[in-house]
Order: sequence, then C-alpha cells, then structure tokens
Amino acid sequence: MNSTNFSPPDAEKEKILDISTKLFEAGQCREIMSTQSAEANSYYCERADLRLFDSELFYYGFDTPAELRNMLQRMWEYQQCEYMKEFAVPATIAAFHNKVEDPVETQAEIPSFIYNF
Amino acid sequence: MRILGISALYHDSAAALFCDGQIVAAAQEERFTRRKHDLSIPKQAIRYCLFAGKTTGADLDAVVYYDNPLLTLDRWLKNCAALGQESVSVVQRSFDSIFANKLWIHKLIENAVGGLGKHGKLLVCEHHVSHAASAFYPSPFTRAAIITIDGVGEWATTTIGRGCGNSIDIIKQINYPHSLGLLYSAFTYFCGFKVNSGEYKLMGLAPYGEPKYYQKIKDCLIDVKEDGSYRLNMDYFLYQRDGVMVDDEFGGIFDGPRRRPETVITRREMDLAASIQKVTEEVILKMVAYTRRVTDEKNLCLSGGVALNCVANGKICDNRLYDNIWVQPAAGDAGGALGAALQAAYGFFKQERKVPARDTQKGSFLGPSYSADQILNFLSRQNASFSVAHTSAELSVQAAKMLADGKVVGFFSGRMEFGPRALGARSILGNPMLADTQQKLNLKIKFRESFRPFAPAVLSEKVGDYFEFNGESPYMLLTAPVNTDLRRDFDLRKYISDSDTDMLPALNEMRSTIPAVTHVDYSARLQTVNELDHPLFHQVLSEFERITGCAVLVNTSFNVRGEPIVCTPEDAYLCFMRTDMDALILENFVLLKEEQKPLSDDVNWKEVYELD
Repeated sequence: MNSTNFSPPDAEKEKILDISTKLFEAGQCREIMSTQSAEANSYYCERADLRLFDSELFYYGFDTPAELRNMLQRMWEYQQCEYMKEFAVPATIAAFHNKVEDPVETQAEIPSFIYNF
Repeated sequence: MRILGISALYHDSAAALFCDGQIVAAAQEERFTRRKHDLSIPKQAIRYCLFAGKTTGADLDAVVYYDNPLLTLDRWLKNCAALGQESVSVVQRSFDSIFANKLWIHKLIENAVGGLGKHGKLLVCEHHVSHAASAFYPSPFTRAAIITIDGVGEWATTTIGRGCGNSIDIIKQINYPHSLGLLYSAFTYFCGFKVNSGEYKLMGLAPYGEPKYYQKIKDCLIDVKEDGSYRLNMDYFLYQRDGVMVDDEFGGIFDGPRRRPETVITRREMDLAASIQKVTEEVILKMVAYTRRVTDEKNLCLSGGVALNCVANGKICDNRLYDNIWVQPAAGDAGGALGAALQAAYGFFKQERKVPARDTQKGSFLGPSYSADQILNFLSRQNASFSVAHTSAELSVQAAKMLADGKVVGFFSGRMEFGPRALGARSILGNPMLADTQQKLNLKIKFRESFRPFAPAVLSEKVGDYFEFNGESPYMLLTAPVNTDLRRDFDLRKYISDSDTDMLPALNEMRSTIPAVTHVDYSARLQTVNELDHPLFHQVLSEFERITGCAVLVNTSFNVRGEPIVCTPEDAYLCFMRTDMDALILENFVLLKEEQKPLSDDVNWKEVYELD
C-alpha cells in the first residue's frame, strides 16, 4: 500500500482498501465495471437466478461482533462469493469501532453533486 | 396489527404507520426539521405517526426499515473491489455512512421509536420491494404489473414484477451500476442542477430544447434493447469512484464542460434536457410494453424516483397498453417507508388485503392537521389580524373571490400531503387566466425566475374541458396537453434562438387561455380534484368556476425556493408574512396581508434555506 494517506485511526479503511486491491488484482468483481455490450438480447437479470440474499424481508440486528460477522458470512455463502468472506472480519471491526453511541450526532448532509448511495 | 415503516439515511427520510388494513399516517422528516430532503432518522415523523395512530413504540407489532443494510454493504464492498486502489475516494466518502450508520440501523431506529415491536427486532425490507409494495398495495387493483425505477437500492436500479392479492413477485431486474435514474441524475448534474433534487427542473427544461443529443446519448452512453433493458457505458460515469456524477469526457461529447450552477442556462442545456428526456421516455415505454407482454396484466403500478417523471408517465397513459395505471404519489425514497410497512403487513404477516374501488392512499393526505384552537392560539400570540369563516361555503366564496381578483392565496387545509407534490392541503393558489400570475408567483413569492410553469388543479369532472385527458390524476403525476381550442398561436423559436436563451419572455407569453399553467409545448402537469379526497378544495374550485367560468386554479407548493413545503400553521404564517402573498387561509381563518403588521425580529430568512 503506498497511495493512501490514512492515519492510524483509519486502519479499518486501510484494511478494506487492502482487500479491495487484492481482489481487484485477482480479477474479482470486475463485471461491476464492465462497459456496454451489444451481444446480449436482454440486459434484464432473472430475479430467481440472482441469489443475492435469501429473503426480501427479515429480522435484522446484532449485538455482538460474532453476530454481525456470521450474518455477513452467511450472505456471502448464499451468494457463493467465498472471496468476499475476507471482508467479514474487517467489516465487523469497522462497524464496532465506528458505532455512533449518540445517534443525535448523526446529521449528515446530502451531497449536491453525487447521488447519495 | 400496527406496523411502522421507516426510510432514512439516503434522502427523503420518512415514517408511515399502517394499522389493521388502513394507512393511518405518513410524513417526510424534512417537513418537521425544515431541512429539504432530510436524510436523518425521522424522529419527528415517527413521533407524529405514533401520535396519529394513538400508539407507542412499545405497542407496535413491527417496525420495518426500507433497505437491507447487508446487501448495501455487499454492493459497496464489491464496488471497492472492482476499483481496487481507485476506491480510495469511495472509502473516504462513504465509510462512516456505512459502518457508523447504515449497519447500525436497528439501534438508531430502536432509539428513535422507543422499541422495535413485539418481536423486539427490526424488520428490513429490500429497497425495490419496498418501492413495489408502495405502488401495488395502495392501488385499487387486485392484480397488476409493477415497475420500479430509481437511482439505486441495494443492487437493483430497475425491477419488473407482479402483484396479486397480498403478494408481490419481482421477476426481473437491472442492477447497479446500470441505472436509468443515475443516468438522468448525471445529466441533472451536468446541466448544473443538484442531484437528487434538480431532476424535475431538467424535465421542465426539456420542452425548450431539441433532442439533438439523443443519438449521441444512444451511441456513447446507453445501449437500450427492444425489451427496455439497458446497460450504461461506465467509461463516462464517475459515480462509482468519485464525488461527482461524470467526468470531463462527458463534456467532450456534449460540446463543452458542465454548466456551473446558477449561471445562465444556454441552448445546449435545453437540448441536453430534451435529449435525455427523450431517451428516458424511450426506455420506459419499451420497458412498459415488455412488462405488459411478460406479465399479461392489464393494470400497471409504478414507483421509484423515476416514476415522478410526470412527462414520461403521461406518455405511458397515451400508449394505452394498460387499462389502468397507478403511480405512488411518494414515489421516491419517502414512499419506501410506506411500502416497507405494507410489505410487512401483507407479504410477511400475511394480512388479508381488501381492494376497494378507489385507492387506499386517502388522497395522500396522510400528514398532520391542526385544530381551530391550535390555530387561534397561534394567531393570537402573533397579534395577527384575521377573520373567521363560519362555514366551508363562506370560506370557499371568500377564497374564490380573492383568486378571481388576481390575489395569490396561501391555502392550508387539513392533513399535510405525503410526497413531493402539494395537492391542496399546503398549496399556494392563483388565477391561471391572468397574464401576470406566473411572474408574480415566481418573483414575489417563490423568489426565483423559473422557466417552469405552474401546475393546474382542475375540477375532476371538468378536466376534459381544458385538457386532452379524461381520467383521474389526483396526485399531479401525469402531464397532458391543453385542449387545442384553448391554445393561442405561439412559436417558441421566436423566443429561443441559439444566441438568445432567455426563457422568461417565452414563458410569459400567453400560450393559452390559462397561460400560468401551460408549458411552452402546451403541456400541463395535471391535478384533478375530486370531492371525496378534498371537499373544501373542490368547493373553492367550483366557486371559482361559478365566478369566472374557469374550473382551473394554479396550484404550487406552499414554500419558497429551497424550503420544504410548510407543515405547521407557524410555517405557513411565516412564509405568508415573508413573501408578497396576498392572503392566507389557515383552515377557517382568513388573513389579509394588508391588515398585518410586519414581522418583528425576523431572521434573515433568505439565508436560512439553501437554494435547490
């Protein structure tokens, strides 16, 4: 890693960037960036084939790091994205390190020039 | 069964309460916090919904959030992995939003609601399923095809599905980063308007231009199949990696750099608007036709932010592929709160769904109302001068007379609207026949020089007398042409040339007998007003027709530029006092500007609201 300027408290960001770079170099997820192709007859995905998540509506929540990590791992198992499991631990750590104790403080602004994802 | 739905953390946070088969309450947080498109946890909207339902967080059967945080994280991480080192900006920009907020939504909502229902856990509903539910379940259809189109949910940007009874089945979808909503937002950004809020301006700008960039957009940016599916050429878009929508290469194909906000709008922006509108309509119309074939349904429901494109909706109606069309009035993310609650009730808890002849959206009058005592107390504290109308007939006559005289009237009546359109509960009304209404509303009340005309509210039973339209459009989500016999000769090219792009002379020209609501292409953004949804507004329109012979009024949202639509009597009073509005009707209290003392110690309010 040599192109980032993350300071020590941003170690979780660094870790996520590390894994992202590793997966990028391994060629994972490139389909997300693919450009247009005229070959297919349709660009619709069959919902039944997508296998993104096993439920459209479900009870969500976690109290411990293990619970969140397990939820993430189950999702990526269902998707058959083994490579994504590498994110499970750093994402869990990032969530618990950055948890906002007082939600009153979370008053983010909507950006003017980019869709808020 | 009492179910609270919540949308938050993207834009247009909202809460909605569904109890025993009825939509009891729904409201956007921005109306309470006075922060336009507020994305925070909608604490005040939640409080209002619980109050309206005479319930508490502890008594709820379920609380439902309109998005799956795990799938959103999945999309975000895969986006990073697709970029590798280039994801630095994305990580820096969105890390806190994902890890400090979105993943903790169960705690944030529990804190705001005071409980998570009887199960003690938050339900989460997929974003586009929430949209689909908001479109289908309140509709008057037992079964229907459903299309949802927006910027992006977790992964989906477009879905096609079917609703039947108390279930929804999504059949097909298009995933991020390919997004018709984001394509439209990219042009919104490129033309110098704000993303997430300026899209309707781009739509309003389109009639001034020629679609001269249509083919370039098709050649370079989007591949559209005959079935309406599409794929974007991501080489031209930056939203996956940066804090803006498009890069300089975009300017390379569209004759120069992005227009800077608040600078002169040139012929190029008009042509860009016309071009992207044409592409959008083409995609939607193909998709609508394909959906008809694959679902074999005769009714169509629409939702997602793109469903607020009333010009495209009007074209769908013209197409006559479906017997009936219903668009969720809060089609953007706010409506996701309602959809999530409905999906929990029907899809998860398997509640029985009764389908009445009319929709169950209640005219979208789902927000707070204020009693005469509350208003009287407020006005007394302000030392305001007012009169009281003792009957609705008296009030209607008074309102109609003022409007016939050319006065601009703030109209605050009943429960606030849910969704972005003012439908007669929090509206500013004017006389559409007068040449100067447009200019007066724009400059003295809205404080803008808009190139967009205002919307007409027309008596439902008289709509065919004014517009080439015979159905219902109670939510102002369709455009239709003004009848030919009401039009006046008008040649836009005389006003808009390559060298002179001042649109105001064109807009101020008398293009019809109702010029204030007629766009430069003779279209109008229709609201049909029926007696059942809003009896008083219907009565005012009827009285206005009796006096003037015209069954149409100008209806624009009760706010100034950049301000959320007013919610409380205080909001309405302040807006009235700070602008050149002539009169204010606060339920049955009538205030005339000439009788009021100026506000003392008022803030420099023009700096309070950021321009949208």
